[in-house]
Amino acid sequence: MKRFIFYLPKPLKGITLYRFLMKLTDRCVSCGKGLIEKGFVTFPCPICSAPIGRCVNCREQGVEYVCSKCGFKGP
Amino acid sequence: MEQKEQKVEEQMLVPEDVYLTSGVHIGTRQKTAAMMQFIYKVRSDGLYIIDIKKTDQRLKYAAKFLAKYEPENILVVSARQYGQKPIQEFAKHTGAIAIPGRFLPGTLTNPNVHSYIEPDVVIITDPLMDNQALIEAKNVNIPCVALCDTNNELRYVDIAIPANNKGRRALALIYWLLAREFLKEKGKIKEYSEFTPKVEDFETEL
Repeated sequence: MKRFIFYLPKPLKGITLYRFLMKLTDRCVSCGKGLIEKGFVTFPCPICSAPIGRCVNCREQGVEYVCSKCGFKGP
Repeated sequence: MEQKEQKVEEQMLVPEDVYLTSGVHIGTRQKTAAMMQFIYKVRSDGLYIIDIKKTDQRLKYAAKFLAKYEPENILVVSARQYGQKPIQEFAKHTGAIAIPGRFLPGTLTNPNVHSYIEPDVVIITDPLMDNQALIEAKNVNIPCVALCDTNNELRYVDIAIPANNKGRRALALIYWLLAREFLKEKGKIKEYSEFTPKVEDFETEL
């Protein structure tokens, strides 16, 4: 990540850096949280193969997810 | 054309009677909020009954999902005694890895363990009994497919198959159907008649 920051016009710090890092990663389809923490999962949708990401909190609480392409509801 | 496609989708994998005679629909006397969506009704003796149509639909989805992975990267786990023979047969016919009985801690997380493996997806027979496998799959970011009864939580489960995961014949039928559907989705069999093993072969002997 140091290389990324080096080539940016100005160095990113704090929450700006966090948001920048979030944009680089996938997001949870249920809550929109970046998939950084340990315990997340990404898998293809059973019907349309679109990538589905779930964060560790949503997985722990069994929060329902919906595929944005085909509308498949899980778990 | 659309009506025909809908009819094909509505067709069940096996007749409804087969599900009923195997007891796939029979749940427990407990229910969880997560499994409410799969419960059809409550019997007079207090048993919650699982909706068979949803079980059938979920089996199709699960088979489609598993077909996206290589069979040697699929791990099937069952600590339940009645689930051990079905998972062994499932692994034999599909080429997946089966761990019947005790799941050695570290199998998915500790490279120093002699039985260390790195699968891409895990199938769990009972999230309560196979808790160790579920937690380790979570720690290594692997999706989980689980057979869930009415008393199971959907914690760390990504695709749930609502079914009776305690019955001998129910487990045999579910794994038989999953194996058949998986092979069909993979293209190894073109028609169901090409799948020669019977449901009785998957059953644990008394």
